[in-house]
Amino acid sequence: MEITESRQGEELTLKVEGRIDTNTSRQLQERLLLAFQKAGEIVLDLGGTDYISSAGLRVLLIGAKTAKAKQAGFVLLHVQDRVKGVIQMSGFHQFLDIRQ
Amino acid sequence: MGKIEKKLFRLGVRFLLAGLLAVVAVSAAALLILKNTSAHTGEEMARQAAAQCEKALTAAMQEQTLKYTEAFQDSIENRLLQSINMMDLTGAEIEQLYEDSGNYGGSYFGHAQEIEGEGKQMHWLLPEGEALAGEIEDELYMLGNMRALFSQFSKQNERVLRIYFTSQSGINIGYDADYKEKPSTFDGRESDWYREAQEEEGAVMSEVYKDSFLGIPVITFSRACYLEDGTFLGVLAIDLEIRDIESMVEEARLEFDGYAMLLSEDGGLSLGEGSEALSGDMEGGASGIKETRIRGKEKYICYAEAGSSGLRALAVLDKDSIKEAAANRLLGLTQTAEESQEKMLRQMLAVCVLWGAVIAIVVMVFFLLLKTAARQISEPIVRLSRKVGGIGRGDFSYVQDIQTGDEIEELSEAFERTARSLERYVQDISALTADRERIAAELDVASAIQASMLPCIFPPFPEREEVDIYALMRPAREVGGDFYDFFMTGDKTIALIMADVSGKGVPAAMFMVIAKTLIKDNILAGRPLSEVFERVNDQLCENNTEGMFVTVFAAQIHLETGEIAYVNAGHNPPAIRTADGGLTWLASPSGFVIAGMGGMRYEEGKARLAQGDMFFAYTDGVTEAMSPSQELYGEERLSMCLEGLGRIKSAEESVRALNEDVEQFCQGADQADDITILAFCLKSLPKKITLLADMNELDSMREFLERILMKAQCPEEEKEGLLLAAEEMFANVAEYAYEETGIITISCRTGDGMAQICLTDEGKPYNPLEKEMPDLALPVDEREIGGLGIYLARMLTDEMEYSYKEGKNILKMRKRWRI
Repeated sequence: MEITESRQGEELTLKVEGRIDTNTSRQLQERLLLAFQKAGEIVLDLGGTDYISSAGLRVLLIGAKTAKAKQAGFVLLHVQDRVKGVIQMSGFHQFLDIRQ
Repeated sequence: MGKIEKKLFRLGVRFLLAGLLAVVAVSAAALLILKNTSAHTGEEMARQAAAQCEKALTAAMQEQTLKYTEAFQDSIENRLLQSINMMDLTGAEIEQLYEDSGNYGGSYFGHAQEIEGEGKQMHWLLPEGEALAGEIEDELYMLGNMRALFSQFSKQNERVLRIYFTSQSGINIGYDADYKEKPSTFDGRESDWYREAQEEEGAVMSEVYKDSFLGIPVITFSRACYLEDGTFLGVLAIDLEIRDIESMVEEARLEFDGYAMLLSEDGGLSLGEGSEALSGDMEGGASGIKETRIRGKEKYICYAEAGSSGLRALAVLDKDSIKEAAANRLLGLTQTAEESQEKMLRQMLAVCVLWGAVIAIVVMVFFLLLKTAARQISEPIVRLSRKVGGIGRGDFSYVQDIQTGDEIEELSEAFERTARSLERYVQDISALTADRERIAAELDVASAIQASMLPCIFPPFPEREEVDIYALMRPAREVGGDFYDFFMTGDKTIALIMADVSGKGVPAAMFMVIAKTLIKDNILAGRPLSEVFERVNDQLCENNTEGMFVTVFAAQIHLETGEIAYVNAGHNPPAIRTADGGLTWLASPSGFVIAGMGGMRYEEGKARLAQGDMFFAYTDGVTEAMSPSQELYGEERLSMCLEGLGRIKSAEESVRALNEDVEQFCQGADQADDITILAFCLKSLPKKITLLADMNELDSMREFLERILMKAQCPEEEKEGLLLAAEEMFANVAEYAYEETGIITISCRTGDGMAQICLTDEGKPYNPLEKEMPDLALPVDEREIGGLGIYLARMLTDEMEYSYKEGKNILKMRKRWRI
C-alpha cells in the first residue's frame, strides 16, 4: 500500500494505492491522524483501493470520530464498488462522507 | 380388612343401625309422651288443688273465725255479766234492805247539790214537788245504808261510772262523781231504763249512748227490785263505761284483713268499722256466715249466736285477701308441681343416659361379634384369593387346605385341579418355547455375525480424504443373502463388491460367507478381476450340492485417475451419476452367475469416475421392492431418483436418499427381499498450508487461497469475499488464540461451484459464531472500534461452522457460486 499526500490550502488529500488490510491499516491510521493535526479538511482518495478489511474500516471509524471531535472535515473520494459494498455492509456509510 | 369382610361388616352395621334407630325412635317417642303427660297432669293437679284450696281455705277460715268469734263474744259477755251479777247482788241487798226495813236505822246523806268534797259520793234527788219529810224521809235515809255497798261496788268495778236506785215512791239515790252538776230535782221513774226494767224480767241493757256528764260511751243496765211477796220496790241501775270493750273490738285483728264487730240484738250497740250498716240484719238465728259488701269490698261475716247479754260478736274477713292467700298457696303448689316435673325430667334424662350407655355397649359388642363373623366368612375367601393370585403369578404349588365344608372348599379343590393342569401345560409349553428361543437366539447370533462381516464403520478410511463411501443393507429376514464389501487393495486402489446369494435365511447366509471370503481372498491375492471370478466360480461349484448361486459385481477403482475395472456376474448393473446429473449404467459386459456352472469365463469392463461423480451399486431388492398395490419399484424409478438427487451430496446422503425413496414407495408393505445400496464418490484432495499465526503470514495465506480459487474458476466477487473473510478469521486467531505464538492450518477444497476454507488452530477454545453482531444503526460516536471482522466474514460467506475437536478450533467457511 502506498500513500501520497497532497495539500491544497486547508485541504489535505491522502491518496491510497493498494489494499487496506490488517497489516497496512496501521500505516494508514498513523498517516490519517497525523493529517488531522496538519489540516482541517482531510480527503481520503480511495481510487486505487479495491480491498478493505475490518481493520481498514476501523481506521475510517477513527477518522470519522476524530473529525467530529476536531470539527474537521473528513471526505472519502473515488470509493470503488467493492470497498463501498464492505462500507455499506458495516453500516459506516451512514456517517462517512463519501463523494465521487 | 378384605372387601368381602368389609361388605359383610357394612351389611351388619346397616342392620344394627336400623334396629338402633327403631329402638331409639320408640324410646324417644315414649319418653316424649311421658314427659307431656306428666307435665299435663301436674298442671291439672295444680289447678284442681288450687280450686279446692280456696274452698278449703275459706271453710277452714270460716270455721276458725266462728270459733274465735264465739270465744270473743263470750269474753265480752263475761265482762258485762260480771257487772250485771254485781248489780244483781246489789239489787238483792236493796230488796233485803226493804224486807228488813225495821232493823235498819236511817243513815244520813246529802242532796246532790249540797254534797261537799271530791270523788264519788252518795247523794239523793227527789221529784219536783216531793219534800224530804215523812215516809219519804224515812225511806230515803234507810236507803242511805246502801252507801257502803255502792262504794264497794264502785271500787271493785272501775267501769261502773255510777250506780243509782229510783224507788217506786220516786226517791232517787246515786253514787257517783257528778253530783254537783245534777239538777235539783229528778224523777227516775220517767226514764226508759226504769220503765224497761219494770216491764221485763232480769237485767235490761240500754243502747250505747254518750254519757251526758263525761261524754264517753256508756251502757246502762237496770233491774227491777221486788219484795218477796212481789211488791215492786224500784229499779236499780248502773252506768257502765264500755271503753275497754270498744277497744277490745277495735284492737281485735284477724287473718285476711279481718276485724271484729260487736252488735247488740236490739241494735243499740254497734261497735267496729261498718257495724252500723249491719245492725238491722242480725236478728235472731244461731251462728253463721254471711257474704256482704262493706265500703265496696266483698266481705265474709262470721257471727256467733247472740249471748244472754244480747250481744253478738262478728268477724269480718276480706274475701280478696282470702283469694290472694289461696292464689299464693296455689303458686306454691304450682311451684311444687313444676319442681316435681323437673325432677321427673332429670330422672328421664338419667334414664336416657343409661339407655345410651346400654346401647353403646350393645353396639360395641355387636361390632366385635360382627367383625369376628365377617372375618370368619371372608378369611377363607381371602386365603383362596391369595393362593389363586399365586397361580396367576406362575406359582402352581397350590395345596387345598381350606376346610370350611362349603362352596369355598369346593372352589378351592377346583382350583387345585386347575393348578395341576396348568402346571403340566406350562411345563410342556416351556420345553417347546425353550427350543424355539434357542433357535431364535442362534439366528440372532448368526445375523450379528453376518452384519459384523460387512464393513459398517463410516468413514472406513478417515485418512483417505478423497474416498467418500457409504453402504447399507436392510435384510428381509434375520439373516439375508445380500452382501457388500470394500477394501483397499493397495495404496491407490480400492475394491467394491456387491452380491446377492440365491435363496434366503441361514443357508443363503452361510453360502454368502463362503463367497465373500473367497472373493476377498482372491482379490487381495492381486489377481485380475476376471481371474478372480473364474477361480471363485470353480471353487464354489465344487461342493455346491444344494444348487445355490451368487450374482456378483466387483470393481477396482484407482483413486488418483478414477479408472474403474469391473466384472459383472449376473448382477444388476451399477450406475454412475455424473456431476451434471447424467446417468451411465455399467451394463456390459455381463457374465453368468457365480457357482451356477463350473469353467465359466468372465470379461472385464472399464469405465472412469470423474471428480464429483457418484458410483451406485445395489441389489435386486431395490428394483424389485413392491408397493402395497403389487407394483415394482423398477429401474425407471431408480434412474429418476438418482438423477433427481440434485446438487452433489455425500455418499451417505445419496444412499439414504435412495433408501428413503424406496421406503416411501413401499409404504410399509412387507419387504420381500434384502435391500442393499452402496455409493462411492471420489473427492478432490483438499489443499493445505500451515502457517505461523502471525499477521506477517497474511500475504502467504492470501496467495495460497487465491491460487486455488483461481484454479477452481471462482468468480472475482466470491473470491474477494472469501479472501476478506479468511483474512478476518486469520486476524482473529493471530490476535487472540495464543498467549505467545502458535500455528494455524488453512485448507481449501473446491469443486462443483463451491469452495470451503477451513482454519484450524490449537489455541484456546473460542467460538467466533457466538459473538454478538454489532448494531449497525448506531451513530458514529457510539460505534465501537472493533467487532466488525467476524460480522463481515459471516456476511461474505454462505455458511460458517465451528467445532472444537481434540484440542483444535476448527472453523469452516463455505461459499457457492453459479457455474
